[in-house]
Amino acid sequence: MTENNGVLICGEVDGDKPSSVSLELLGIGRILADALGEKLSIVFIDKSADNCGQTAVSYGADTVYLVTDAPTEQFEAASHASIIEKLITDKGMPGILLLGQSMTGRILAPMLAFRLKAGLVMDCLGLEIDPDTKGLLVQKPVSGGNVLATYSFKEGGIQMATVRRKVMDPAEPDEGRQGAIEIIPAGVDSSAVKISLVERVLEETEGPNIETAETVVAGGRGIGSTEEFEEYIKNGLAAVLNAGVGATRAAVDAGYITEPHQVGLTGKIVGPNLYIAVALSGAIQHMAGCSGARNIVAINRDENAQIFKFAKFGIAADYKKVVPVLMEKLKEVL
Amino acid sequence: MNIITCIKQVPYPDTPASAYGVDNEAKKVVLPEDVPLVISPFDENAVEAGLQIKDNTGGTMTVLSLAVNSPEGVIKDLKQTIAMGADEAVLLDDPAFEGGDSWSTSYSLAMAIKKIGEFDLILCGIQAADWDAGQVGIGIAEILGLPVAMPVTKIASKEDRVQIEYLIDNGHDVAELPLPCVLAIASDETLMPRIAPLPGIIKAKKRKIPTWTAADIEADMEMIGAVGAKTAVKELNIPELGGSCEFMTSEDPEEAAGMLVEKLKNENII
Repeated sequence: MTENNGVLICGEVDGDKPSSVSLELLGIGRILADALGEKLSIVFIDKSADNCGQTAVSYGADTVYLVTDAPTEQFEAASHASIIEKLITDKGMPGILLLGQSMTGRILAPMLAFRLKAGLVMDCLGLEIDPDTKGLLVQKPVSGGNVLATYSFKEGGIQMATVRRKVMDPAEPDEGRQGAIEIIPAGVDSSAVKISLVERVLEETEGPNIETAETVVAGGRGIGSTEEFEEYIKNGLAAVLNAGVGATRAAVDAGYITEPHQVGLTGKIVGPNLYIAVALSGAIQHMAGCSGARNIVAINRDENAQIFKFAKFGIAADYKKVVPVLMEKLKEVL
Repeated sequence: MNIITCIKQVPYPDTPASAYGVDNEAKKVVLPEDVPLVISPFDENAVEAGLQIKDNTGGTMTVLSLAVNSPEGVIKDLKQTIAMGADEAVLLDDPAFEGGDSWSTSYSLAMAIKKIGEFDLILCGIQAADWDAGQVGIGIAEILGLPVAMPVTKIASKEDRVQIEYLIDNGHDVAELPLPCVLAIASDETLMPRIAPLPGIIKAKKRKIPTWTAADIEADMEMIGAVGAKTAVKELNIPELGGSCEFMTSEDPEEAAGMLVEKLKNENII
């Protein structure tokens, strides 16, 4: 439908490896590229990106571009956008450009879209090629997740989407897969940098990483106090299950636990096998962060709480009565 | 410092899921008429952020909104921001703005900002609670060629720059941006919108809010509304919310916990 060709992913590096969302994007991108009979490429911009090439190929990339000389050590949106703009100018306009719905993708994707005059849909849960038009169709939650919208793109431009974490497992890696790995100069100097970083404050989560944990136990403001959050959630149910600890925005604002534990629209997106929601109402802004969980268990005093609409199993009772006995029962079987 | 804050009117975001419906002819989300229309929550945080800067450094704040749903309702929202402490407000209202996406909306707002002329800082929420698009702040910045940061939770003004905090995936950055710039604001406990004082409410009541059309902001008609959009809603659906929660019905917490553990084991969830 256009002269634009191929699927390009803006990857992210975690340590010196492609991040988990980048591997998920490679799986999705491969399916789209195959449906179009086109190539799949990915670009990583990071000083430690050297080792990402072969991994990305084994997960489905045909071409990997590595940029290791960006003007800033940390991600900086404006200069990274300029690097990708330049790459696209040199290598050709992709038909589809994908990013992860991470804090990085949230700013980089719209910036690129407006520079490349591309249509963009953020936070997608599903992507497919329309068999009739060969255009991209994407599905995203709107109205805080109460409605799912399917979008199409105006013909002729780059079709851009950011994809929520955990909407699809990565493909099985194929170590023998062949692809091209190119180291590309950034071609952009510090004049492209717009934000000067004063200080980066990393707030490590306590316990297992909630974004990768198989089980997450989350508490809401209904827990009541920091002490109770620690006793029943962090050092209680989560410890027994070796689970990541999650919290609602309200629980973080109330000081029960630190920011990096927040799950929701402005926090982490998690997709564990089991998500146990304790004393939280299931506000749609929170559910935006955990609707990818395969099984949700809810414990809430109010049997009409919205969380039960999302839950597979529920106990409508005071969490303080349920959690201690639940911990005992779990210890017996784990 | 002269601030322009962009707000959007949305249906009350905590409306229960069961109230939502869709009209696939009009490609619109449908809600009962008694659901109130309010300022989108992150935009309220942006208004509060602007007022705090104004409190600290002086200057003015102009609030800008593009009419959706009912223009009269948006005028009420704009008056609310004046009651809270904003100095001026402008409504963009023209049938040509209808059916826009993030592209057309960003362009229209950017053209209105150009018409306002003088500004140091543009604020908006990170995303509106209706379409959750999350692009307009960055769109305005790119169209006007300004630096931008998001999702911003704290702002301190420092002569020709702002020092801000914004969220990253595992913490936050403290950073500086030169003025003028655009900041897309997230929620933070320091940005809970203030209650409008009574004198403010009385003042706002008497104010006439100017309305600008597409011609007033010298918009290119190819760039606005549905014509300027680069994406289109093809279909809307109400998602299945699991919807079939199986309750452990025992009154005895120990028995209920036992039943739950058995279910989780039987389904190989643990």
